[in-house]
Amino acid sequence: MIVTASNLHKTYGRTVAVNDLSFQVRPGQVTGFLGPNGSGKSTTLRLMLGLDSGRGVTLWDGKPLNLHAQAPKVVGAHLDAKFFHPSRSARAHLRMLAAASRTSRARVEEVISLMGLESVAKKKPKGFSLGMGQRLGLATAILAEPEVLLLDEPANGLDPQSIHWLRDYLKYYASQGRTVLVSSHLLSEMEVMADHVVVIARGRLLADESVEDLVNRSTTNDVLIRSPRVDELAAALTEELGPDAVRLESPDALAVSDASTDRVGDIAFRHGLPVAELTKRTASLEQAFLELTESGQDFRIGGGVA
Amino acid sequence: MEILAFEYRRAKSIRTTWITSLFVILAAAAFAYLGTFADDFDEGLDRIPTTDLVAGALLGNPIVIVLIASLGAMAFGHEYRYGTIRLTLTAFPGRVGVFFGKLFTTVALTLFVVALAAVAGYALLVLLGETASGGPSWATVAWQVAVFTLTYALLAFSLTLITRNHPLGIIGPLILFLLEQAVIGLLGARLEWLPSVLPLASMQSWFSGVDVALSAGVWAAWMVGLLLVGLVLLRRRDA
Repeated sequence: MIVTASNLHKTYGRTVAVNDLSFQVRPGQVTGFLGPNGSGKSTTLRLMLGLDSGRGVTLWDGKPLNLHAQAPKVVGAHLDAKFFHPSRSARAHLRMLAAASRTSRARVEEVISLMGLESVAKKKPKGFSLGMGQRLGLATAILAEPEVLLLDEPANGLDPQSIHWLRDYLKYYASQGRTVLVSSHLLSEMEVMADHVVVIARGRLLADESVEDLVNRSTTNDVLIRSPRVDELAAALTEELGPDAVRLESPDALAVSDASTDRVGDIAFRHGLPVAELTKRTASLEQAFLELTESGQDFRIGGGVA
Repeated sequence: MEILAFEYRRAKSIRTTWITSLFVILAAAAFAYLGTFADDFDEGLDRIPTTDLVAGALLGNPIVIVLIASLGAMAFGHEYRYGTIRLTLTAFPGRVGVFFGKLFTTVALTLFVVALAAVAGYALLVLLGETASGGPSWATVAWQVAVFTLTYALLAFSLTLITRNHPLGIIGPLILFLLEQAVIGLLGARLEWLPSVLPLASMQSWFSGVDVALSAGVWAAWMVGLLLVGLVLLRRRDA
């Protein structure tokens, strides 16, 4: 199912939380939804679900959510790990939501087992840890086996094993031809989980492309070359590639941008300079994300309000 | 109608529903029995008629008002208090459907619980041999108790939805009850029309058979008006 968000716009007083945001989430892949704190990710998810009022429209397979016969079969959302009644047991919570989609009791038990909630199924969630609350929230989202999963920071509070399981499960879910949109701050996790990313800052779209394309666009993709005659090498590279392309990385190493390892190696060879190391360095999603969002961040640690 | 199945499970899966319902029943039975200790000087009867005892245990009893309001406030109160409204409105994006599903469940639940309470009160009087004939008919008691129950359940339902404040939804109807009495006490002599435009005074007039059509109309207008305000806010507001 293709999810199309068009011109989503939301203001709180004079503050624009989401600014004319449009993007598509496609099936068969995990789409990461990234942005700095306060960039409007959660508001966007709520706008998509029709929980917040604002401008714009989100179409789920070409139709607004309220025109689908059974919304729980269309989208399962997990927005917060604390959205449950403190004295309603986990099992009763899931059975209540199962009634919204005529989901069987057997499926409720299956989800309880899948999420490792068997030991706490009868317990009231008021004593749940954040991680356990996340599991219950995820169980709620996948209960009706929806075509689309919308998850807001689902890995918060999960232990490493659970994060690993979540990653595998979401990739498996997407591989079944379903649509998965996950917002997260764990960029290293998103790098291995997501196939595609939508990046926003200050409510505006900054990128909507594959993780690979985003990372390849990063200026931190460069070539490291190490040589005992670094000054001569720097002069040769500057002569052929320009001064902006060459940067001294350490006393015996240079970082060269906008050039392949073949080209850099060839220049060194033609100038008769010895090479101790020649390495292509690829940016991480985190580096690419930081580059992309550094000008669009409202709140920075140590920087106050930008 | 998945919303009704959902609401049924929502209401039955929390202990508060059961405890509050039990208290309504116990309160009705207890007050019906306590009523037998009062003398009915006006009528000069040895015993107060059973229908008067049952009606008196429920109508105008502040404890019962708060308990009925508790049941009425639960539909949206818990949802907003614990954030589950977002789960509900994701599962049911049509907010009008959610509104009427919750309204129907609230009305059905409160009427059922109060009916059980009336039966419990009557059963206790029978068991203790405290029955007496006379007084209003059972049909009169039934419709008056039903209207009374609807009044406080719907007031709580609407106030909770409008304010998104669960405690206010519970206590609001009782405050309104006391406020109306105070306002009428202070201004009723000067503004004779005042009681006829207030919701609870209109209900009393209706029960007393005074300007029945007007009183019932004013009461209904208040109930529908408050519900409509709640519905409009539910549709427009962020969840």
